[in-house]
Amino acid sequence: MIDEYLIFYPVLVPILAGIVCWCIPEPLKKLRNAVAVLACGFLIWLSAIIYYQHQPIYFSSIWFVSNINFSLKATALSSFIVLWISIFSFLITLYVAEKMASEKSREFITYLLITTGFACGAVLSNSFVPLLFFWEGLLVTLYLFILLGGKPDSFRTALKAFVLVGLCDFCFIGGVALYWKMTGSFDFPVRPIPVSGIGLASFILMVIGATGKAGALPFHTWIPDAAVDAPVGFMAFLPGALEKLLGIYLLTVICFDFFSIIPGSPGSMGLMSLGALTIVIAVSMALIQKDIKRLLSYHAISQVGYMIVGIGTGMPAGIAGGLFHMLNNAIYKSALFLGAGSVEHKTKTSDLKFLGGLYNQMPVTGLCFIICAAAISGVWPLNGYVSKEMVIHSALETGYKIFAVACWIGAILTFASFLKASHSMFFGETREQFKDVKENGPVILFPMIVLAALCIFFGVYNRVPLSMISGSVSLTSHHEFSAHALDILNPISGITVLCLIIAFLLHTYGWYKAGKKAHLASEVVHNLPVIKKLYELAERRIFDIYHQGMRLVNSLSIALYYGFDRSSDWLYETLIVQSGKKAINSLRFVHRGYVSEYAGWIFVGVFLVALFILIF
Amino acid sequence: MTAFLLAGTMVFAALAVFLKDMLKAVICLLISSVFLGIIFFRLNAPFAGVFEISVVAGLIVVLFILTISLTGGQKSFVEPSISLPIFLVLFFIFSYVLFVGIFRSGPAEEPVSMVEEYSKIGEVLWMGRALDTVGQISVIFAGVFVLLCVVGRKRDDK
Amino acid sequence: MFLFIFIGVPLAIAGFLPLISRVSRRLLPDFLSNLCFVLLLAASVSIFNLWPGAGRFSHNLQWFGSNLNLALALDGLNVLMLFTVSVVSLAVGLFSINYIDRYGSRAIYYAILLVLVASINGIILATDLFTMYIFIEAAGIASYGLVALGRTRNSTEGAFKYLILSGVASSFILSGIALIFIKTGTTGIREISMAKNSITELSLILFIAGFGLKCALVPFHFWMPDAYTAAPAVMPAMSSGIFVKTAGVYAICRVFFNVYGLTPAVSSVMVYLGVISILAGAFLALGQTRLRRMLAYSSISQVGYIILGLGIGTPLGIIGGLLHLFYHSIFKTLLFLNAGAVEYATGTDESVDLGGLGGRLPFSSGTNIIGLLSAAGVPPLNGFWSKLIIVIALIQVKMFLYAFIAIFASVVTLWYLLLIQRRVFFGKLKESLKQVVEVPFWMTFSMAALAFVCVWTGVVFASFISEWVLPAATVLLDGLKSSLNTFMIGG
Repeated sequence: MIDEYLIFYPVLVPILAGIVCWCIPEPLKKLRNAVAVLACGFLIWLSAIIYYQHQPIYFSSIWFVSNINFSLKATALSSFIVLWISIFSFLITLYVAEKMASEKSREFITYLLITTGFACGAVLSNSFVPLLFFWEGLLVTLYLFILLGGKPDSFRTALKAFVLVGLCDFCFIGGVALYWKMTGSFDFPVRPIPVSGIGLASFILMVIGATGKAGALPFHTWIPDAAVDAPVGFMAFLPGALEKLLGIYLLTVICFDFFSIIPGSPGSMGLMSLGALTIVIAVSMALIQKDIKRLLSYHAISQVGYMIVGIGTGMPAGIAGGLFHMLNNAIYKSALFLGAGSVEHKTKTSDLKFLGGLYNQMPVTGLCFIICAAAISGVWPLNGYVSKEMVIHSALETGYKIFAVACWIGAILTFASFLKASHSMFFGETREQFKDVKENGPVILFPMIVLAALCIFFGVYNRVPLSMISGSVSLTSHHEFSAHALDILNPISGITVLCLIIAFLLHTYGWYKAGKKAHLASEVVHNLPVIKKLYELAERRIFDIYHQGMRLVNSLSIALYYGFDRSSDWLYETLIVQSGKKAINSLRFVHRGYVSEYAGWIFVGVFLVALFILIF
Repeated sequence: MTAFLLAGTMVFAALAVFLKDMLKAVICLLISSVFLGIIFFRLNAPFAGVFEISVVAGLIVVLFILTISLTGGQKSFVEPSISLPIFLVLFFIFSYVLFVGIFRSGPAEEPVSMVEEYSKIGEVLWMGRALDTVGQISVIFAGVFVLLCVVGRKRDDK
Repeated sequence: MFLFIFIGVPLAIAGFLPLISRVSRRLLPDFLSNLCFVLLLAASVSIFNLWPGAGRFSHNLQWFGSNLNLALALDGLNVLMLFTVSVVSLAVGLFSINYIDRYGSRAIYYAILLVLVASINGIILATDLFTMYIFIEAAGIASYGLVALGRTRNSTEGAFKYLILSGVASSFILSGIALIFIKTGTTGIREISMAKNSITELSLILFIAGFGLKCALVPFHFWMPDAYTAAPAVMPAMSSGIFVKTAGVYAICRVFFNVYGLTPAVSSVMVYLGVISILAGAFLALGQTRLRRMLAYSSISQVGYIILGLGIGTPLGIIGGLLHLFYHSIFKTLLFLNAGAVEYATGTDESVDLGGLGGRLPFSSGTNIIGLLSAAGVPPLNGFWSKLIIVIALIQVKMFLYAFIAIFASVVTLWYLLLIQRRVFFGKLKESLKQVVEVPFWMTFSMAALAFVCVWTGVVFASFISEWVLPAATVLLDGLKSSLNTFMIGG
């Protein structure tokens, strides 16, 4: 029999390790890194034990007030997510421990471990109260992480992220409040409730919270900014991997545990539309980026769209596809960020314009990057192909072809932009200043190699991860999803392959057109008549809701300042302060220090009390 | 008789508050306390009387006189004249209410458990009210220490 | 016998201290008196554990088999009060180790402090109104001594005013007791509550005025600011922390809840006095620049909350009032000790002359922030919960205006306390204060311990209510029945 406290450890161990790391001083840096890596390794072991219990574990204790429980639960899905959270934090810790030589590594490792603990807590929560607690905790660490970037705009970006994600969290809290109003309990429900009336409002608010965390439209705009201003380890860890895991996990729970989303219902349609929009818009933005980190971050947004579409179908294959895509995305996206980061580390730039021909200098990094780029573009037989196929199949099964079309457009542009990125980073002629760039050390390469290997492994042997996921999709007893996973000989796969070919042609055409400059390969699309205008507007942040919101708030505050604040200031100065001073002075006048006066007042008081009691 | 004693208590208490000369004020307080003590004796509460006289009339007043003579406080207070009449009016209204209340309430209907009469003050102290004795000891201790403190400080200042 | 140590041990040590001081001027008085305070704290905690959890128990002491007629009683309310007194007196005792150097003889000072604690414990444990009165007098004289301990003329004057006005209070209380005695022929709490028709309006008025004076409700508050400003910081800490709570609030609880039973008239008088005190105290505090004078007015305002909560008379109101009683004891003692530390370090407590001390006095500054946030009711510190409960209780009985006033006054509280924090600790360090150094160990230790209690009791407020405050509130809610159900237990 397993100890129920076991599932408390994934929350406790990283947080404690984080505190310990915080306390270890700078001279003992090696010890600190060792502690962090060991703690993450221990965490993997722990979560593997929890996962392989193959039965739900419950833990519950009283939190401050008696009727709100601190209850945790490890189900097949949540323990699966925890397992992957711990694997990612292990790999990223390894990477950071070696790479970040700066004085910020202490903070970074501490935040990373605490974030891991909070994320495990959020995933394992079995009640809204701990869920919200950990969820808000993650918001704080997110803010702190971006501040660590140390760039001139880091603070502004951190604030932007804080406000946007905070807004989503606020929506989520609102949704929880409405949900509580309906069910009367802060515990997770035993049975899902229908999406109607207040339930609809609650559902929409919760979905905003979950997808906003995952980085879907329209709350995504902090991610590209953070890509420039925050440490690269952070990008690989939070927007790359962890936030996807958390947001999509929460979305799954919302859709199937809190509410019952059936295929074809308005909720399902809404989700799929949101996903499709996210795919297309974000990937179009990604296409024209000239900075590798910004490009990756737009892809981080765009890939969320596939997951949302997959979960939005409401069908077992689609959900499994969405979850599998979440996992795949976390794998290759963090590898891509790590690759980009190590390239930037060596060359001191992340602008595609200045990079080129690095394959000879950094063959392993380049190979890993290319494998992952192929995976994210959905090249057969890598993992991205499998999960995208599953999503597209089930999107078509719902009968609305538009969503599948969106996925295909996404596939074309994704592949095109990654062709551009890989081409301009690793091929072409080697620049003079990069001649003596060396390959990274083994500890930095290790996470990337592992992740790239996972990309291949999960594509070819997709039965392994899919069997892990199928246990989590608890709609019906058992599904065999891997049947058509690698089947390339069907019309739908044919279209996908066609998309890839179109993308390749597009890239080659653009490359020639731009005078064989790879980083300008996407200018063909960029310069299309209407689209050029739209891109200009987007680059000027017209579509950034934070930017627009801040402008609105600014003008509002100016209006309020002159219209309301100045006038009320005057009221305050003259009316309240002056009269308050008068009142206080008159009160002080009574306290002049004369005993007989005091006694007089006391008798007045006695007299009044007497009067009151006698009359009462 | 009780009423007169009560009136005396009140008047002297009032004087204690109003007299400008501290020493006289303290003596008025002493007289007021003695009157109160006598009232207690007359109301069949010898122990209360004992304490009132010994504690208030004795110790506190000694303290007062000592403090005043040490600090020479008689010249320090200049009280405004307006507060006196106001105070007097209020005070007499209050006293009137008090008197009316006492006379209305009359004697006890049937005392529930009259404390046994003890013949000597010592017995009162020891048998009836042992805890009061402890309290009395506290009062004396406090008084003595405060005196020691004030005197000691005075010596330091010199 | 166990209960009697709360009175007997401090009294006995107080008696020995002046003799001991001939042998050892510093070490033994420090050690013995703080040992005594630690012992009392341990005793009060173990009493909490020994106490069966309900009912009022009367102990009649035996000495070699013969009855001593030393009756002491214990119920939930007493347990809470004893604990409060022990915590605060230990903190003040430790603080004094370093602080009292500048105020004359250490042994005499500790003796006065011990007598004060013994008398306060006497007030709490007494089974008889007249005994209570005697102990109130004893504690009053001891606090008078503490006021007079200051070396200035002001302190003598403040002490004098304090004694005059507390004499007025004593005479009111004594007259009230006398009236009861006329009616019932007894002064025992249990006997009076058994008697019929024991209540007269006159004695009610006298008690309200007398105890109101003792706990400084507006308009009976005049002695407090003068006395507190004049005295060394330990006096306001002891007085506002526990003496006001026992001689004023505890006595009000006993008399109006357990002896008389809470009538609607008394209840509304308490609510009115409470609200007036809250408002007037808060506004008066706003206008002050001297630390201790401001804290004195703040005490008036905070005691107003306690009386308001108790006056509502509903279970929630009483719980809130008692909770605030304990919490206020802790944070107000902390704030007064902070003020004392500032004065110890700089020689003045006039905030206009201070500024930027945060860097020089980091401990005092930090603990002062905790204290002021508690006082202003900022979650999760302790003051928040008690005020919250009082406000909820007010809303429950539909006194929305008073609820608003309570919230408003707590905003004013935050305002003036932050104002003083800014003036004293923040901002630019004044040239004249460059030489200031942090206060000695025991002072910082005591302040840090109180700050910790502030935070801790705030965090675990739920279990604190259910274990400590609820039994006490039950005693008050039972009213007359509570004192009738007195069980005699041999010594």
